[in-house]
Amino acid sequence: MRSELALPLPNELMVVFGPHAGTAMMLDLAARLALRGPLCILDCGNRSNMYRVARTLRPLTTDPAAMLKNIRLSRAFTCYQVLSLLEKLQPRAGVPVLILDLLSTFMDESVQVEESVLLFEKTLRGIDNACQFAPVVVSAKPLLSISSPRLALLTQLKRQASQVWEELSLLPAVPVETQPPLFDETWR
Amino acid sequence: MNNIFRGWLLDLYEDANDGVRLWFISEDGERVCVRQPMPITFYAAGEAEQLRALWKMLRKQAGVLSLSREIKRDVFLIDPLPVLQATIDNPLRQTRLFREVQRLFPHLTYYDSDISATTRHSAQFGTFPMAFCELEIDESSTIQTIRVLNSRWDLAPVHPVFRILTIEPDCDPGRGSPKTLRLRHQQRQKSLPLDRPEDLIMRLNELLEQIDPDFILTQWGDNWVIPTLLKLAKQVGVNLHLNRDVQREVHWQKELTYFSYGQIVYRAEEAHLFGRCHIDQHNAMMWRDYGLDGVLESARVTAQSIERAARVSPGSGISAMQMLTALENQILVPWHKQQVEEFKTGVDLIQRDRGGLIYQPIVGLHANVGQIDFVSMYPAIIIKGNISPEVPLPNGIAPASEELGVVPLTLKPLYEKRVALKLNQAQNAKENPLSKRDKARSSALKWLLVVCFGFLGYKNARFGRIEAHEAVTNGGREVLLRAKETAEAMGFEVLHLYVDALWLKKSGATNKKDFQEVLDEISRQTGLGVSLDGVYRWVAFLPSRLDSRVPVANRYFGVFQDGSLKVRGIEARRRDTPAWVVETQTKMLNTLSEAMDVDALPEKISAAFEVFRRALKNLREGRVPIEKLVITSLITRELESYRAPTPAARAAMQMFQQTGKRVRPGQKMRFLYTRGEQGVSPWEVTELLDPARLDKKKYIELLARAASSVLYPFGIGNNELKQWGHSATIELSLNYERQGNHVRSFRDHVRTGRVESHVGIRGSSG
Repeated sequence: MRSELALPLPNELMVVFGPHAGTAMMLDLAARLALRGPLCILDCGNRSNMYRVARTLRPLTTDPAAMLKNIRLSRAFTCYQVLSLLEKLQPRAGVPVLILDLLSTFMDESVQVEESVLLFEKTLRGIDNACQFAPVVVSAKPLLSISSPRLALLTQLKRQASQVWEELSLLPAVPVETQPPLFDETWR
Repeated sequence: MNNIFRGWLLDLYEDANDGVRLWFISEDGERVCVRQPMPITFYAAGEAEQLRALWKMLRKQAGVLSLSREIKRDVFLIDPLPVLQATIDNPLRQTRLFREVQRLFPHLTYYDSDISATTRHSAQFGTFPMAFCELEIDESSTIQTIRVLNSRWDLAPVHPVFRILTIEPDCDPGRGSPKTLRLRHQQRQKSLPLDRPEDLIMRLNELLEQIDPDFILTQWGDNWVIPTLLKLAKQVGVNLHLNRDVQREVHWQKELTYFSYGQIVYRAEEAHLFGRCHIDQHNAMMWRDYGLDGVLESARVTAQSIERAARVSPGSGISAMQMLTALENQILVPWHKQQVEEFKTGVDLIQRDRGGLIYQPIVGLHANVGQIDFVSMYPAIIIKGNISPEVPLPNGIAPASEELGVVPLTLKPLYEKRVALKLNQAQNAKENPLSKRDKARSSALKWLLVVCFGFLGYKNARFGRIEAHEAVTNGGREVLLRAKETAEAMGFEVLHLYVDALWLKKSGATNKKDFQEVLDEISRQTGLGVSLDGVYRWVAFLPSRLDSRVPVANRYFGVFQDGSLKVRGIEARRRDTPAWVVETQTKMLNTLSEAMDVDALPEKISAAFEVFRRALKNLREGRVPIEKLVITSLITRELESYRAPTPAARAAMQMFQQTGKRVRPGQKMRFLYTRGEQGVSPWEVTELLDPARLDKKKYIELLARAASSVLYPFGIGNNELKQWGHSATIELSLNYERQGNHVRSFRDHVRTGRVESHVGIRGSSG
């Protein structure tokens, strides 16, 4: 049986929702995507543990370092940076975009709620734009009670998604079924 | 007719009519209020059409003195930046107007828009709290000229004689109902009963008028004393004159819960005064560490108001200093940091995003070990390597550009002042009255330096950038490796490396002078200052509790040659350890520290064990004061959000049910372990707790665990001590022969595999 997040991903917005913003699942997905080609990660919650991705890749490829080079990533620590990153992204056809823990920076209590809402709307527009070219998978985590004035952002995100996966309801990720080719396609 | 006087700046705040008001303590002891108009300039950049619209909007607003198009420098951009420059007549009006501007024009980028009046004043006139100024004022007390005669960087600043009034309730209002307020000024003390509100307020007003304090220092002032006094004053219909500026009410800063470095932090509501300073010692972040002397030093170097410097984190101090540096150098201060991390590959991230270097220690007991520390390593690397977000970053510690960036420019005088103060301290005898003051001041500077590295990666740092943060740890690793190689080349064995410290030993090296050569060579090879923390008579590096084969970094205790103890990573250092456990563990360590060398240690083990035994006996016989058994722990979320409530959360829930008092995330909860279903009792409602309800079994386990940290190097483990603690009947062999063997086996123990690891969070989101 395959995981619901089977590859290739469609060009639409998918949301993974779960504790720790579904990080384990997102990083495993990043590893599997890296085996297939370039991908982009926008890390909004300091969750891009590349050691974990490397460990996942190790049994799947003879050259995990080369696969890690398929990943282009950047971290955002504020919601302003999230927006700047999306503006800088320039999505390319067939290059999936993973956005880790998107809501984290929008919960920053030093940013006014109205400001957060405004920035989040712009962010969603940026994501929507990216979806025209490539699959976008966004992860989010349950919000803490101190973030209650911003709960609507999560609802908004889920509403915009074509698919929402609550982490518990996802089937366990299945390892890639075939061994990856030893040589790249130019050798065939 | 203008008047000239000289005095120390105590307080500065915005005023809707005057611009700013400044309070001085004059040379002849008078407290003088003067005023000064203070126009504020901010900038906006963005699309021309938007800027035009902003210009049209601003020109219709009252108080806008000038609008012009200028070319300025944003250090994060290569090209000069065309901006709209707006000058507003008054700081308060600028704050209000800017709120409106950013609501109407959210797409523009703003600069210099939210800087405090104290920072702006400092940039413009060189002022800071306790600046000694010469002022020329006119008949309306308006400043005509102001000249600062001292410096933020003075090593021995002269202060006026302060008038200090302390106010505290007769008990912790969280635990009981105070009956009186205790007031103290100089040697005089007074108790004012709370049950006669009218008398209390009248008497307090009289005292405030008589003493006219510069500082009101309180215990629980923010959340109890001042709110209670204001409530009583309202009840009896009498104004309470807490402010020196009689036109002002007490200013309340809202309570706040926020995340900082992955931890939830609670900051209670704050009561701010005008013309004098109120500091609630329970709500002042570093008060216990450095007191009023440290607060004054922190305010001085950061140019923040004294009340603010007392309450905010050192990170806010560094932020204020960086803004000041930027203003002084005509660099625009962005309202929000927009720069993002450059895209990198997964491999790049693994290679660059690492913390400080650690070589795990060789577990066991070691004699004659020297500990070498780099002096403020990360600040020194930032300065030496010129690491700043807006300049090219070095690979290692050789700077990639010559002109100092904002961050090193800010840190350099701070670092130099701290080093000079430390030198002073070393030269002054401990009994010198200035020594205590210098220690507090040095501690305040230390904290500013400690946070400056983390602040480079802090999400809201205006002059922060994650790559700069990574460059610092990269430099740190480089430096520590060079130091290790240098030491090894000189025949030393490296027992442990921890970020900015090395533990070395070498046959025949037994005192300070034996380490001088390696110190000098490390300093020469790395270009950074190093110091010898001391030579240990003996030091024990402890393993993991879960697996004794695994070493643990920075978990050790040892005794220097002067007999002083150094302890890291064990129970006595933890904030959630009950005082009784801390005291017992410390006594055990002190007993061991009497051993003049490692061979004399076995003789002291029985005595250390006796300390443990006696402490248990006292517990069993009910002779441990109950307050020494209190555990303090952090509440990390709303109580309803706990799925498996921690003991602290259970205690907080009980307190809420019993008293209606809710503990907010980030607040600390005090509790006792008690028998019964809940297993805990909140300290705040245990006035009448029957000591028989204490869960002594739990406390025995806590103590056994702490004792085992001390006795582990001698072969006595936690399980043995726990068993002994519960039964006090089993045989616990403490014969010298056995310990002798153990000491020897530890000294000669087989080395576990060397593990290199890196400490520190990946990136830093603050």
